[in-house]
Amino acid sequence: MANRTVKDAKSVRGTNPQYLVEKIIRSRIYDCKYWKEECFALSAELLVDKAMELRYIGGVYGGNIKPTPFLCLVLKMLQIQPEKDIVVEFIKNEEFKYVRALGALYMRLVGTSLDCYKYLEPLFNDSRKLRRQNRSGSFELVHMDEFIDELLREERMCDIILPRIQKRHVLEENNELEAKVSALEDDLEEGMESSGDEDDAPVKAPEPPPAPVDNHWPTSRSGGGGGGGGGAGGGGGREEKTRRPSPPRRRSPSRDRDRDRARERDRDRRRSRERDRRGTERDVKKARRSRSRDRRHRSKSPIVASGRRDRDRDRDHRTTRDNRDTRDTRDNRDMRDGRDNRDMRDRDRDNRDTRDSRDTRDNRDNRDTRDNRDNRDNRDSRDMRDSRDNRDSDRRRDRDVDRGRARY
Amino acid sequence: MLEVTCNDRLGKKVRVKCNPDDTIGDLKKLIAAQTGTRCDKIVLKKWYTIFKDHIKLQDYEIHDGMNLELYYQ
Repeated sequence: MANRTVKDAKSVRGTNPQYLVEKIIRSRIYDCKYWKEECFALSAELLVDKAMELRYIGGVYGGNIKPTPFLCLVLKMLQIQPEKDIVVEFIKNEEFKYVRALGALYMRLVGTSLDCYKYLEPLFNDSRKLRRQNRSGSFELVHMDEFIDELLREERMCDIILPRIQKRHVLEENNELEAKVSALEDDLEEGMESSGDEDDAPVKAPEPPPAPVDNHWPTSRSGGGGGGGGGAGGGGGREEKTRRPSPPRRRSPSRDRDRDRARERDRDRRRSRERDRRGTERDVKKARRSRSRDRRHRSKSPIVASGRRDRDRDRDHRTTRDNRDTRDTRDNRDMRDGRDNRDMRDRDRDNRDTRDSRDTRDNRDNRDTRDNRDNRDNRDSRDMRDSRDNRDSDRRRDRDVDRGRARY
Repeated sequence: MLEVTCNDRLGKKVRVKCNPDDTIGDLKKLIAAQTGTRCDKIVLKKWYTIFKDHIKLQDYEIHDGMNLELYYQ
């Protein structure tokens, strides 16, 4: 069935992972068009493509509880249960912020408390704007770090009840997590000493991309990296981060364009040369072909000339010529129906005496209306076998065959 | 001040006192206080008409003693 969770799925919080979304909302998602059209038979790779097309986050909206595509994809992820690596890739990816938001929400739903803090807290440094659709259907603006904060703090997000995770200080006491160092902390200290924020471009290395191993995620690093200028560092780092992907993009289209243009030129030259070559060949072949065709055609043509074929083919058709009615019907004196329609006008309808339009011909004899063709002219089409072949000696044999008795 | 009855046909029937110039959203909050469900989980309907949150009771012509159907989402 299309809505079942994948068979080998791990149970999340002790239950079917899809049940994290409440029953009524789950039913609404199953019934919606986006789910049925786009989310059918999605695998992890195809899910990435769909996630890249997301334009806003949200839960359900409208009076009749319509789910947003974001919510449908969350349920799809719960259904197919992608590997943790894939989810971490979603979160680390910088280019598409909605993919990041999707990964973050999914991690919050299925991940352990430790995972949640570990993967979601670096996202506090990302302050890009997100579009959110609220309950009434209108859109509002949130920032990524607000979104992450709500994920870690609140009970419900996007109309999904978020499972409980342990408080941060509990994990810190257990030494599983290091103390949280805010990226803004140093900035706040500096802000208290000096009046304004510093705007230098910081050493804010973007932790997300290159680090493949989980251990490179500790919060202290983000705090230390932001130490150069926390909020301003965040601002400068933000610019750097957003700026960095674009330059390579800007350069390559022009490079590609020149490359393509050169290639096209070569291709056209080659193609035109080929065309000329091929054209001459084609003409030669065409001439040859036409000549041969003419030859054959001429040999085929004499249908009129030889009467051999005509005779065989028209054997059955010839007799219709003989069966034609040879009488001259131009006058139609005897064939004419006495009821002439000239007199059948409406206004005269009631005045007409049907006695006068009766057929007055005497049909007793039928001499003239008889079909004169019948017996005399069907000489050729008559079956010549009839009387000659049913001689006495054969009659019994035929009789037995007819009755179906086998001749033993 | 008018009193509206909300019934979900499954056993929950509440009478809620409210003002005519309250919005449906306010009415849902009052219902939530009495029934115990969350206010954003409540859908008020009459036959197929879903009452929208931002419109007042008097604009929907909901009068005293009227029955509303209680659904959930």
